[in-house]
Amino acid sequence: MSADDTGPEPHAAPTGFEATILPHVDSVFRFAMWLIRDRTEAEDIVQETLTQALQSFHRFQPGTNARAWMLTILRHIRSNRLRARHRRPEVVEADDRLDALPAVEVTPQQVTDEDVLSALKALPPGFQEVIVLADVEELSYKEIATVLEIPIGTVMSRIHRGRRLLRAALAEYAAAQGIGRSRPVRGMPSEEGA
Amino acid sequence: MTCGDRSIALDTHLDGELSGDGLRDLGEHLEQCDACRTELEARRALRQTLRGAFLRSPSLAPSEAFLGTARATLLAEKGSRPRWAGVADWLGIAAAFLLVAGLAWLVDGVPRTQSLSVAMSGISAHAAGDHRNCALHFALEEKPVSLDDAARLYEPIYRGLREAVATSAPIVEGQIQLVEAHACVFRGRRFAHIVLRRGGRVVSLLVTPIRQDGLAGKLADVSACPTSGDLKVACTTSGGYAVFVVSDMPDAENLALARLLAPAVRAHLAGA
Repeated sequence: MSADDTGPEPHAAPTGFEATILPHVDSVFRFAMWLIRDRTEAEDIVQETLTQALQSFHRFQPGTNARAWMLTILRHIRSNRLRARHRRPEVVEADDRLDALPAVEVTPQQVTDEDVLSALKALPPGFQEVIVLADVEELSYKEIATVLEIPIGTVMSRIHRGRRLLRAALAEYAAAQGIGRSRPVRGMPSEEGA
Repeated sequence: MTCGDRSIALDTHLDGELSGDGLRDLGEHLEQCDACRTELEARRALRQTLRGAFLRSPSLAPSEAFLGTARATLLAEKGSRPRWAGVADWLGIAAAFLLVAGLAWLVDGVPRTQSLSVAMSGISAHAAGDHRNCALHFALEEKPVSLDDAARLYEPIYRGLREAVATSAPIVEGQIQLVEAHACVFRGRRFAHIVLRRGGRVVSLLVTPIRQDGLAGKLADVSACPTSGDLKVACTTSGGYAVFVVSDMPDAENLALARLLAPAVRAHLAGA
């Protein structure tokens, strides 16, 4: 059973686009910048996303997550551009860092914003995307699955694996810096069994 | 089942996606497992740290120049679409872009009161959606849980909320009846949901955390929030929580009721 829409009919109010879409421009831009790492191209792709959102606003379902809808548009545009350049979208790679889990745990107070973002950047792109959509954009698994066009089960496993990789990357950083606290056991407690 | 077996469930729970037997099992396990509680908190802390780092990063933020260009392009696009024709729409789009450009966040990244209605619009829509899909006719994908369970698993502040609302003036004076209290999830947002009845009308009082939305404690007054359809929404914030009153009563009546309910809710949120 699916929840009913909560909003008015599309275009019922002349300010629908402004109220629904424009508050999310900042989020959409940040996501684009993170994906693309090039400000000029990010601006271009967000501009196109906004234009497409305006043109197809009548297809937006009121009551659903407008940010997720815009991110889906953005990602479609980016995929099309990558295809046009004969580049394959990034694939999620296996990562054996999970087999050597942190002997040192780092707490948020011990790292700077840059440390955390650098650790995130060190992950394979497919993990970065799912982590940003879940932890920063706070999309539901269903919304993430729609944006990334992958099954919900894949979303779940990537989130779990991605977070572990992120912690491992931060732990590596902590060990290199001589900060953090030693773990009593190897690996995360929850992976050890009770 | 071991702690390791529950590792994925911890993430699913952290994301508010765990329900039914899985939620019950994890809740019972967390009550007796210090290691998993610590692990859950570590994951929650990392999630918040990452979100904060991402949102604060100046290298990821759009420039004002880009926002201006985007506005101009959209306005040109709008001009070719009769549906968007008109000075009012032009001004509306310009105003919205100015908001996005940062005018709403001039003071330490905190939205001004007059801009909060825009900032709150998404959460307000979720509150209205929860009222419609939980209180009026049930169509949620996840079964509600008791406030006590939700307090144990998610937000300790939910414990005692029902009792606090029961002491509010409109209920004590018999203007409104408290029907039910639980915690539920609409579109990924978790609410403490107090269902009330006034005459033949169903009213929802909803409380949800907004610490990660950057709106904590920024709307001191009870105000009318953006509405959807025939529902009226009154909203306020108290500490790290947003409080909504949703009904199909006239706007003024809904707002007045929200103002009567607010003191008890605020006192609970401040004291817990």
